[in-house]
This record gives sequence, C-alpha cells and structure tokens, in this order.
Amino acid sequence: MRTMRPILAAVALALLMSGCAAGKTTSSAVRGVALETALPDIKAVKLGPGERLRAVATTGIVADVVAHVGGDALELQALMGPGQDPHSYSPTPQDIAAVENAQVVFINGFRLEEGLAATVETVAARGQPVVSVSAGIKPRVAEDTSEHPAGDPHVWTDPSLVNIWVQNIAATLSALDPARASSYRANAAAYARQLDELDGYIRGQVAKVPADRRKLVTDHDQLSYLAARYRFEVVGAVIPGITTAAEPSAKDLAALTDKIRAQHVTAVFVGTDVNPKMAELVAKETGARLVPLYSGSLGPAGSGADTYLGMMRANIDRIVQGLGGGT
Amino acid sequence: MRRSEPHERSAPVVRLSNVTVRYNSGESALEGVSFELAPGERVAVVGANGAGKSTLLKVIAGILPPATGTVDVYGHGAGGHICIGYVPQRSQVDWNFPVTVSEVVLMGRVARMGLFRHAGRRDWQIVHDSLAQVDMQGLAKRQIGELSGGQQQRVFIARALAQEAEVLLMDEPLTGLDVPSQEAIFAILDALRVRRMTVLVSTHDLHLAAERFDRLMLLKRRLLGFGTPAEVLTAGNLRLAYGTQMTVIEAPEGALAFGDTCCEGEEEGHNHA
Amino acid sequence: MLDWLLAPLQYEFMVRGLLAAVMVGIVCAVLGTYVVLRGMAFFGDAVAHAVLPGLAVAYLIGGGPEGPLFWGGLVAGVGTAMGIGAISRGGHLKEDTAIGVIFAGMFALGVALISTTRNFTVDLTHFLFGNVLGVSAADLRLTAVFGALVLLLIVAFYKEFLVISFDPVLATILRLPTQFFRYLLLVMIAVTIVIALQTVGVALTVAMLVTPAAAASLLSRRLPVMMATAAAIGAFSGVAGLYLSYYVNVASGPAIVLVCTAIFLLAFLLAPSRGLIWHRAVR
Repeated sequence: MRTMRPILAAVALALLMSGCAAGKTTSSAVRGVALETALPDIKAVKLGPGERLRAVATTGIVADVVAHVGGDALELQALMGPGQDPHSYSPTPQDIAAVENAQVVFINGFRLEEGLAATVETVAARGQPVVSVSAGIKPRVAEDTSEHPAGDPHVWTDPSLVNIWVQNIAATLSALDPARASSYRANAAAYARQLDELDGYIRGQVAKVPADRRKLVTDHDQLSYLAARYRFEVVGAVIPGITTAAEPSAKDLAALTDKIRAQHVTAVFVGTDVNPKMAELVAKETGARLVPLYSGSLGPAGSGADTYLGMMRANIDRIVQGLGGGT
Repeated sequence: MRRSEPHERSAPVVRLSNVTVRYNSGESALEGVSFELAPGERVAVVGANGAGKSTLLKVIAGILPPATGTVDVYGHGAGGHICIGYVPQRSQVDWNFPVTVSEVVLMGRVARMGLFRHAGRRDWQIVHDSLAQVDMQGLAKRQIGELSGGQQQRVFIARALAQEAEVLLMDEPLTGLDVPSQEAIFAILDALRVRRMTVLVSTHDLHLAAERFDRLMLLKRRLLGFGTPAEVLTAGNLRLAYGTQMTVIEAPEGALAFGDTCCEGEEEGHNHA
Repeated sequence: MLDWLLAPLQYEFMVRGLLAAVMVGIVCAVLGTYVVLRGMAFFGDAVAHAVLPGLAVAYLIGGGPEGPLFWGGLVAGVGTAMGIGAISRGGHLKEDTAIGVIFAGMFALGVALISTTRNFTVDLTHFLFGNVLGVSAADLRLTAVFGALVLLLIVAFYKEFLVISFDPVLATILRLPTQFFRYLLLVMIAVTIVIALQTVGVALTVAMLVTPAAAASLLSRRLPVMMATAAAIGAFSGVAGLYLSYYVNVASGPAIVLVCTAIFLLAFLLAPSRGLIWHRAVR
C-alpha cells in the first residue's frame, strides 16, 4: 500500500542525514556500531562468464531476503539454519572459512550475531565487504544498554524495516555486480510489493484482537518493533533483555508473574529455537497459554514458515490466536 | 554377618607354616617363617626396622595374604575368624576422627551385631565392661584425640576385648610411652593372661622384651630365633638381626647389646602385593 | 520482617526451588561428612564433572532439555565412580592422577557433545551452574525419592560405614564386605551429585558436599552431631542462598555456595577450641 512510501522516504532521509552527519563511511576500522550507520563503500568485483557472486548471510531470515533480491545470480550460503538461535550461535571453523571466502557478507546488524562479532571485525578490517542489511535503520534503544549499546536487533519483526533491508541489499549487489543491477532492482521492487501485502495482512489480523488484549509477553524482548508498528503493548519478557543468552533472576520472574496476573495476559510467546523451560514455568504459574513462535530463525523446509513472509504470517496468526482473536 | 568357624581347641592358637610375604616390588618382607603359639602365652616380636614385625602381625590378622605358606588360627585360615584383636601403631590411626572412646570400643562388636541392627543393651554392657578392664570407663565419652598415648593404646585393647578376641596382636604399643603408662599396659596384659588370651606384641625394646615376655621372636625377614630370651638373644643372633645398628659386648654375665633401636614406621612405606 | 520472608513464597517456582535447595543441602551435607572424613573431595568434584557427558547424551537423545537427563547423568556418574574405584585399587597410578585424568576427559567429552547441538549456551550454563528456579514438580519428586534413599542407606549401614572409614583394618578382620560398602558409598556419592546438579550445577556440587561438613567438623567432635550440624548448615544455606538471590539479584546456585562458605569461615575463625581466633585469644 501507499502507506509504506512516506516511511521509506523518511528513513531514506534519515539515512542520508546520518550519513552526512556521522561522516563515517565504511571501511577498515569498523566496529559494530559504525556498520549500522551507512553502507560501506563497495567496489565492483570481476565475475567470469557463468560465475556467480559468492555471498554469505548470517541468519536464515537475512539469507531469505537476500535470496529474493539476488535471485539466481547469487551463490548464497546461510550460516544459520532453521531452529538456530542467532544470539547463542557460535561459528564452526567451516563457517568462518565460508565467511572469509565470500565476496560479500550480509549480517543482521546491531550485534545480533554475538558469536560472530570477532570474525566479522577481522574480515571487515581486511577490506572485505561486510554489509549490515540494517544500515541506516535507527534502532530502538534496548533496556540493557551496557550489554547492547547498539540497540535492539530484532528489526525484522517490522516489515517496513525489512523494506530498508531490501534497498540496502539491492544497492550492495548492484555495486558489486553492476552488470546485473537492473535485475536486482527489479527483484527488490517485486519483493517490496510483497512486503506491502504482508503489512496489510498483519494489520487485518491484529484488528481481530480486542484492543485491551493486545498485550505481549515473550521469552525475551524480541517483538518490540512489531509492537511499535502494530500497537501492541509489551508487558514484559521472561528474560528481561534483548538476548536469549541470559538468565532471569528470581525477582525478574516474580515481577513478570505479578504483571501478567495484574493485566490478565492470556499467552506467553516463546521462540522455537530456545529452551522453553523458564517460559513454561511462568505460563504454569499464571495459567497463561504457552504459544511457540518462530523467533530468530525460519521454520524447517515445508513448514510454510521457511520464508520470511511465511514465517511472519505464521507468527501473527499464532499471536492473534493466543490473544483470543480467533482465526 | 558371617559366623566364625568353630575353633579346633586341640590346634595351636596360631600356626605359621613356611610363610612368605612379598612387597609389590617382588622383594620379600617375610621369608619362610614357621612357628606355633600356645594359648595364653605372651610373646614379643623383636627386630630392626624393616625386619617384618608389622608384616608378621598383619599376616596373622589376615590383612595381608601370604605369597606362599599357610597361616592358621585355631586350625583355620586367618580369614575364618573374627576373634583376632589387632591394636594398630598409634601413627596409623586418625585421631581427629569424630568418635568417642566408647564408640571405638563398640566398633569391635559390629560383626556380632549383624546387618541392619543397632547396638543393644548387651553390646553397651560389654563395651562398659571392656573399658572397665582397661580402667578407662571414666573417659568413655572423650573424643579419641583427647587421650594420652597410654590411654590410646588401652582403648584399642578394650576394643579387642569387646570383640571377644582370643588372640591379641599389638604393633609397637610401648613405643613413646613413659614407664607408668607401660606398666599400666603390662598390668592389663597380666590380667588377660589369666583369661588365656594369647598376646603377640612387637617392640623395639629388647630389655622389656627379655624381662616381661614368656618367649621372644627375633625377626629379620626370616625367623632368626624363637624361644626364651637367653636362647634367642645370643651375640650371633643379635649381630645377624641388627647388623651395624648394634654393638655387642661379651661380658661374663652374658652379651651386652648397645644399639640405636628407635623409630617406628619405616616398614609402613612399602606396598604389599 | 515477616513480609520479607513470605513475599517470595507466593510464587510456586520459589517454593519448589526452596524445597529442592533444602533437600539437596541436607543430603549432600550428610553424605559429605563421609567425603570429608575420607578425604574424597577431589573424587567428588571429579564425579560431578564426569556426569556431564551423561547429561549431554540424554540431552541429544531426548532432543533437548526434556530428555532423560537425570538418568543419563546417573549412569555416567555411577559408572565413573565405580571406574575410579576400580582403577585406584590397581596400584600403579596414584589415585590422584587417575582421578585427574578421568575428570578432565569426561568433562571435555561432555562439553564437546553438547556443543554439537545448536543452542547449547544457556543449557550448558544450567548444567554447569544449576537452574534451581526451573525445578519442576517431577524434578522435585526424583530428588525426594533418591535423597530419601541415600539417607536411608546411611542410617541402615551407619556402623558399617563407620568402621570402614575409621579403621579399614578392623573391617577386614571382622570380615565386613569392605569392597561392597566402599563401592556402595561411591554409588551413593554419584546419586547425590546428580540430585544436586539441578540446584548448583556441575561446577559447584563439590561445595555442597564438602563445605557444610567441613564447617561441622570444626564445631563438633562426635559423628552423629557432625552430620546433624552439617545438615542444618546445608539446609540453611539453601534457603538463605535463594532468598539472597531473590532480593539481591544474583545467580542462585553461587549464592547458596557463598552462604555455606561464609558459615565455614565463621566456624574456622570462631569455633570453640579449634577456631583461629580462639587460638590467638587463648595464647
């Protein structure tokens, strides 16, 4: 729908402005934070006849979006598969080799892939193109800023932000492989339309939930962007932070239990790629229903949630059902 | 629990036949030792450090297996009895262990109490009586680390009594005790003789061994002599037993031996197979 | 004040956690008395770490934390305990060495196995440091049953364990089945460790075995009193540790261990006739 355009424009403006203001472009001395402000300077690579661009994407979600923009022209490898929690992911030696051999590496950004930080810094310092698909997005400030100064990385829960991903990916691929620039941009436009449709679908589903029940309790703070866009209230999370690699204290659990009871929340949403024990505990204690959601990764092949669009649809359906909105 | 084999009263109390005990390394601690003990006699085992005194007591008690030869107590192998009282060297005991005097003595009754049973009145009566016989009933509730050397020895004797032991083996009980404490031990041993308990004591003190025991056993891996002090403590035997550790002077009354016979525990450093 | 005590109790997960911590505190402390008297602290630590591959295999078979972790850990723990017991009778290697080798090897095997799963960090943390807040009703039942069994065996075989611990020579003379009781004790230690894992984890279980009993050994000179004192210290540490973690926001397993260590330090300094300060004062 046309609703996306003004947002796109605003963000593009922000991108420009942050690009100018920060004055940091790219290159070697990158630290995690700098990567997110602007796309790095990319030089075209030489591709032989029939040779495809070698790309590596970190999470399955990033890979899916990159695949839709890059199409067959890319030889794409995703480091994380379905069911892999990106917060606790640790690369194997083969993963690191793949990163070093790629002609471009796409990361989610905002230090989502905590286990890859060192590798990414090394590789970027050597001048290899490492691109955060979230470049130019102004992140939500996370509550535990000391741990995560870069902000909340769960940007894909808001399709309008994924639109920015698409623009960034298209720009990067076009810079790397100018010969196919037009096809990249065409793919990007087509996918952007699908994102539009998704946005509409989500709004329609959310409308089925009575306004006073649009409350989210999750296993960790992963749905805040979704909540902001579609007007949910985030009541709390079992792990009160934006990473899964942390422990809730007894007080945290007690406080959350109290809040859930006070606000009559009926569902606790837990990612399928994490240990549900603590979330189960909270659900049992409060009588809420435990609802699994796809979190930092896609579903397995054939589940319908093996693409970003499919995953988002599946998730919103479950959210709506869990909150009592019927199907 | 297992019942003891019935004793053959006609058999000697203790009989060793050609017993050899080896260390892990293959060296022998005892070689070809044979002897018999009669009921009620009080025998001292003497010899230099490393001569095998402790080993001998342990093989009789059934703690160490002989590599060759047999050990019989009342006609049966040593493992067939629970009536052997063993008083360990004081250095081998964990005196910090949180047990009282009466609890140690009670341990002697564990085999007779049987599995899943706790001490009954009779058991505690026997404990009390055993302590009385060694004149320790006043100290029944003391933790064993709070006792003097002589008192520590007496606790273990009491334990052997509570076991209803018929043979008492004591490993260097007199070492480090002052004369009054030694006398107290001998007084108890005299009382035990009346009850026909056979007593075998290892000691460094040749003088005491000669004066206060019925027979003497001189060991240096082999049995150098077993008999009355006069028979055993000849100059020749002493030289064999003690080598350069002792100076022997021939005097009109008999041999005088001067030596450095201190120190305990050297034998314990070995691993036995 | 009362409010303060009662506030955490309105949450079921806290009540379950407290029950688990108390049970574990008591069983570990009582059995730990033997560990301390027999000088088996290193052995205890080794078995605790050696449990990890058992947990890992159960985790992998069960597809995650819902697997039969308790039983996997039990098999690995008991197996290691018996294995160390057998090796240390051989005589060529010092027992200390044998334990060290097995300890490290098993632990490494466990971590390696767990690292083959994808999302192991949190679960590994739970294995290493416990997750007492996550104790379920089923976990509590297992803890109660096996804990009671261990205590029952200690009472039933009290005099036999006493003799083999104080004077193994007497045990041989009395023809007690020494090897049987020795192995039984090792198995009981393994079972107790697996029970304790949930509360304090692999890394800290040795503290629950050793520290309360060590403190008790400074405070009493009689074995039954020592066991009872250790049990009281263990139980109190469990409760106080959990309350501490609730109000101060620290991890619960380590909080429990810190409490019993603090009690040990107090005993070490102040125990009548054995404490450090007492010695200085009397001089």
